[in-house]
Amino acid sequence: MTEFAHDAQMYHTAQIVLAGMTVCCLALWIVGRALFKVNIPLALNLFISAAVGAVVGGFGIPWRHLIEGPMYYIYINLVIFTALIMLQVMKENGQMEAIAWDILVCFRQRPFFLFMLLMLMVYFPGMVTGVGAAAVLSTGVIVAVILRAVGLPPLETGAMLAVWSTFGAAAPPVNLPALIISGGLNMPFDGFTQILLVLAVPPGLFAFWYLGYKYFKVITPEEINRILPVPQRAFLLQPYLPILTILVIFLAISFFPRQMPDLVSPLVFMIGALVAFASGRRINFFMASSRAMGGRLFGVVAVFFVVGSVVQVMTLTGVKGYLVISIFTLAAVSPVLLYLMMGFGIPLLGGTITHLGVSAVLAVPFAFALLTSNTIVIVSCLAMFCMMSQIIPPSALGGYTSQDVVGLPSYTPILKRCTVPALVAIGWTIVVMIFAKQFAEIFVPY
Amino acid sequence: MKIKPTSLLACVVSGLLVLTAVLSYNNFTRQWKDDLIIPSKHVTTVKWLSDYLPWLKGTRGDSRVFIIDSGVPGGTFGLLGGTHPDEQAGWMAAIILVEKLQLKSGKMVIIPHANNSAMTHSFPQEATPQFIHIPTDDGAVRVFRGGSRGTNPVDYWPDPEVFSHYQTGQKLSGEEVRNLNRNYPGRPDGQFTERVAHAIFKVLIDEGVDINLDLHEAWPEYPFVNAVGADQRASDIASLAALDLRMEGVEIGVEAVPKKFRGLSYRELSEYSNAMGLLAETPNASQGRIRGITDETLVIKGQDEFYVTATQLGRTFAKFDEHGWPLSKRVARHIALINALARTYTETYPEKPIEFENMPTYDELVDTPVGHFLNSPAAVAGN
Repeated sequence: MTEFAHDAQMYHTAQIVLAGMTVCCLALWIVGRALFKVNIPLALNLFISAAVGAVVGGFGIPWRHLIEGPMYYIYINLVIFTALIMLQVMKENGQMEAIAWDILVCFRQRPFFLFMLLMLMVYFPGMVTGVGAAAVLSTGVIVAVILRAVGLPPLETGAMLAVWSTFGAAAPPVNLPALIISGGLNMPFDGFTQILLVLAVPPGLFAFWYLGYKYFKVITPEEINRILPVPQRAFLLQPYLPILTILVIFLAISFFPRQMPDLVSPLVFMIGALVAFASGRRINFFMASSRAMGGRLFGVVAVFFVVGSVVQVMTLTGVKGYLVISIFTLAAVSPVLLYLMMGFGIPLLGGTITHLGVSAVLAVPFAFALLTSNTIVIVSCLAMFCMMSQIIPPSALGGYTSQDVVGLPSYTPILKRCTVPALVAIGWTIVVMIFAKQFAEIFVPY
Repeated sequence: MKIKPTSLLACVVSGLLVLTAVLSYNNFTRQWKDDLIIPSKHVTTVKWLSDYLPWLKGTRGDSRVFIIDSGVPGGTFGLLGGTHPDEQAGWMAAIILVEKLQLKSGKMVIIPHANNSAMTHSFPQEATPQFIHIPTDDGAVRVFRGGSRGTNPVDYWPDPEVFSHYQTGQKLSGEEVRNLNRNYPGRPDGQFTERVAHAIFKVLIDEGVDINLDLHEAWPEYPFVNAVGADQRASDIASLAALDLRMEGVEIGVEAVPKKFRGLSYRELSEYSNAMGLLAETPNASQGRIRGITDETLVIKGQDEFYVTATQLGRTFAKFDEHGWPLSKRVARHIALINALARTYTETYPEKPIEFENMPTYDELVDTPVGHFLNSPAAVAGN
């Protein structure tokens, strides 16, 4: 193995690796489009590009690193799979439709409450998994039906799902980037609840005002019954049993950690899936599970795994450090640039290496750069920037899944409709960051 | 292109996964074998953590406990290396003492691989070297595992989303459940890392440790670096030792235990046992977020141009120049601190002396490759 210089030569090595990865990524995309008329799956593209980058940098084919990196994401992928199995079962056995029917019947004349409830429905899966795509692919599907029923066009529906799921994943209790960043700073993940809500909820409210409110029309009971079947249930709460079950378990784990063993999320979701199976219309559980894992989700999970390879190769070759030091150098020119680099640099890089990858690569060094302010607020803000990656291509995990749900042929129009809410969220986060001490006095318990 | 979950695709993906597992098995399990440590003749007893908590026997968490008893009554110094095995100067300093230290009075209890399970794997995405090769004076090469920050997931998995410290309910990132230095004082029937923590706590109790030092390293951009942390009872000793070191030209800060941070060795072991708790940090570029190429050279030579730039930009707490922070210098700082602590402890508690003999000075250590202070496998038979 070559012994690498750790002097100024490292800049050149990192640039060569980075160029190799970028050129390979683009070349594969172009070849795929030109020769096969398809987009080569992002996961495959990134995996090959990472390997090629290492080779052109003189590191050989980094087998160990390509295999070791993805191990980090095994658990989160299990969470996504199991959460979606539960929600797929609920979808196929009619429980989701029943919940949607209840919401429409109760709130068809009260748009504010309706939108708030729908927002909560989209937020919830992201809040417990930390991944926006999980929300879109689960409750998002039924929320899309309701939004369309009350008059929203497909474009606005897709954009609403994309931004709500993105902001929802930033809401507590599970904010994966905040967990990664606080772990990097050796600080407890404690005291984040209120400030994460302050960051995640206002942009969501803005999004429903900006994207949805003006389209709202009151729907008649007859129209509701035409769109959704009248629920058949033994008792009122029957469709809610799976969600209530997992909610009770999660709350018990949170509030009674000594008495209640941590069953870990995948097992909790599987319990929820079994409760759904037992409490709804008879369906084939295994086929539902298979459908839950297919399609876009398979690609999302594959991207998560491959991001592990990419980040590890970037670390090995010094590209990660190169990106960090480049940003610090730019930020040294002016504090304004520092905030702009955070607000835009993090989501843009995260668009390639996902919100989890960018948390480890960029957000932790930024957090160190701002240690003089309130750390909990700073970490929360950085986590929010990382979350914005979920609507940025090429990964756009939340964005592409939203496009799938509303059935539009291209993601670009959805991304354009997401721009204003995303900019508002970034602007709001920057404001919170600048006034971190003042926000901390109110929203951080200590 | 949309991928449909067909049976053929499932077979192909499963086949690839099995093939990858088979091909990579040897690569990853190489790290499961314990490092060779060649104790000096002054080591009086070699025990295992499982002697203190039998549950650990046969697990990757079991680890050697080296006891050097001078035979002359005095105080007992506890030393932990390898709490975070990717902080190489910690376990290297501990191993050097196992292989070279001679005591005039008192007793030394050394656990070079406090979290032995964490020695057995590398942390995904960190790309740290799996092995570190250190040549000794006679040309032989000692091989040490690189290790990771936390317990091997093979021993404990999955991590919860949020880790709650059992005794206090403090919440931390889920992966900290495998961080030994977040699990003290541990529990005999807790999860894997809590059990390791409890075994170490039992070592301190059973061996009557008076002063305990946990050797770490930190990112150069981390504020607590080139410093010794001390619990309230150890703060005087730590301050005196730091003064001593400054007289030798070794700048070192003294930090109090963070009030709200629980599960740390120097806080909990001190609170639950009679030992004074201390923790030392030296700067290690191979851990930092700003580092460039991550390899063995970075660990041993400690030079990194990106960190030089970061220092110029005011982004590091440990100053970096073209000489970097080589392993020899980081080990030298740890050993100099141990020496200074023993000295000040003896001055403060003359009825419980801990006195070393033939300890190399800071200058000798800093200018000499660490291999010089290790025994050669050829010269000493067996382990």
